[in-house]
Amino acid sequence: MFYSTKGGRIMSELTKLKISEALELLKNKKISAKELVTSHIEQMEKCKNLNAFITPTIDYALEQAKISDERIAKNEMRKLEAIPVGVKDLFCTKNIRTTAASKMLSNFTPTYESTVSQNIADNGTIMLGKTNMDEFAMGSSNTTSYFGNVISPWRGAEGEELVPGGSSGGSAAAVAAFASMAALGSDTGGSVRQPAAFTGLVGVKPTYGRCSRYGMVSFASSLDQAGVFTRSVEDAALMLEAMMGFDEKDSTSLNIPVPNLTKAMHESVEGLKIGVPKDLMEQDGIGRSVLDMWQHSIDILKSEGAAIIDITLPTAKYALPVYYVIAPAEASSNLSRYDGVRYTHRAEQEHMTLDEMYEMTRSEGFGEEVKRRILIGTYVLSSGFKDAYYTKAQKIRRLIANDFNNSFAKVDAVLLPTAPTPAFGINEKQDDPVAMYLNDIFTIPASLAGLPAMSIPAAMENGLPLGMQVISKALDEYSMLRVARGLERNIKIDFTPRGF
Amino acid sequence: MAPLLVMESDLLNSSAMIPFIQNLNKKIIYMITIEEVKQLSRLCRIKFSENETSSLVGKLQNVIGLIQQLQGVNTDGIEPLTSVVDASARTREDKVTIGNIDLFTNVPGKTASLAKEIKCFIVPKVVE
Repeated sequence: MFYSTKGGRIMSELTKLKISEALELLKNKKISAKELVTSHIEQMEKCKNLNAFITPTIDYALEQAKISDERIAKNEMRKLEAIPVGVKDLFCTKNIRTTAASKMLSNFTPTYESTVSQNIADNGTIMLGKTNMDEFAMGSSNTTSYFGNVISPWRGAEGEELVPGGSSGGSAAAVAAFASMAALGSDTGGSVRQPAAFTGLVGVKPTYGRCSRYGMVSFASSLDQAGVFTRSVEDAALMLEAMMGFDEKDSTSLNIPVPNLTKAMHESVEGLKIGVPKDLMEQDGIGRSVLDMWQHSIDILKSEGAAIIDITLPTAKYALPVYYVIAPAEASSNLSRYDGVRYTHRAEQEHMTLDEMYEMTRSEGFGEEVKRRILIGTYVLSSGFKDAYYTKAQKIRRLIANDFNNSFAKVDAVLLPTAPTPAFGINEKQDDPVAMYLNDIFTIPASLAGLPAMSIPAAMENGLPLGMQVISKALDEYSMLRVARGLERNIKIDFTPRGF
Repeated sequence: MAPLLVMESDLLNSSAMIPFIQNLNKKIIYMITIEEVKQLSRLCRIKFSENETSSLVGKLQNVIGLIQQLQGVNTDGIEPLTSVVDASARTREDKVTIGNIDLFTNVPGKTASLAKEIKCFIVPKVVE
């Protein structure tokens, strides 16, 4: 898979390794951490035009590579030693600028590290940089970043630039372009799963409460979860084992042990019951190829010994409006802290009153989509409307969660597409917010119910990847990964973007 | 063009809805007005230009049209779901565990160096 030429390594081949392969080669001293990291730095440079990174951390990465090589020499390898990763710019990284892709935080340097990024660093991963994203995680195309759009490494049939998906578009682009072996993202309504589907990657959102939210810039507190992008299901299992775990500093963190997820890689799906929500398939706007992929995935799992059971999720069709009440409501509350006083952008105008400082700071500091969502959130929480909108949405949220609970009495996992279409052109869908919101239609139900959900690449449409989504019951990441691995084993498609 | 919808009767009777409802041909039209958008921007302390405000009316109307669909769902006897995990706060001993954090590293504005010196956040005068 890679070989020496004149005593050197073909650097580009090192970027094609899976995490499990790289760890083996490092352990056996066939490659060094320095080579692994350098090859990724070179790849980052080659695909700079994708704009996947807001803040590269090259010097830091090279220093860490030295430390990794020392540990490898002493046979003190950690679980993910020297694995080069991207970190979504939503995670506070100590002394390294963290912007949430917003002008509001464009000069913000955290004085502490997020728990999840600390967890993976403690396991030996090496951060190559902070990845680009939609501003404050609000978006599904990575076209709202203060630092410019992210371009997918995948191109359209006529070479058109495509979106990588969002909000974790930079992380997806970095991994799909082989500029990182894995990348942290965050998933509030689909922001890991949808970009994973658009870029041919594995993207996982664990059960709400599995990963600590300490140090994550908050968007919607009852929905936000750390997630991960990788190029294989096994790599995702390795990363998740490092990311998950109880954290005292997050009051919504679950105090339960981290499961052994890599064990799931060796189990077939025989005996598992897979629920297929036929009623969701009647949504408008689902492409033929997506429906074919879904049927093909059902056939694979059946042939592997799983039982296929029809289920219904009758309230899931309201997931989109429920989400677009709850998420903006929570966002309007969370983003009220950005006031220009303590650590953000501050408007500079002569003779401002305090109120004017707040207003000008927030007008200047926030982009259009963020302001729109804050306004919606303010609207649904305002006096006279709160019961009609917010409380109503919370009740329907319970109905959606109940639908899943009822299904999980009969099945171990639910199978449905991740997104209704493949990636679209960078300039499409910009004018109508609702058209953009429809990208999230399949991912939102699992977010509202706090369930573990993941996307795996399962088909191609006109040369572009499509993803299948697996949702399992709360805390059952094990079954979810088992099903994903069952699909992955049988999908013999190379999900490498043309030209990479 | 604002979407047409039929409202549940309890909402119809709510006094909060009256300023914003126009009764037309026995169907209720919900519209967001420019005044409402201005009021909302005041509430969330974001200043918009006149052009931005006008454009927002249309865009917000689209989203409101989307979320209006929820009104037709029967939620009798259902409790709101506020958290998917047990949300009761964990308590601990009232003791400082993380101290000595520099709060002024990122302090913004022309008064930043003064703020760092006196260890106070400096804002425009509020009280005369």
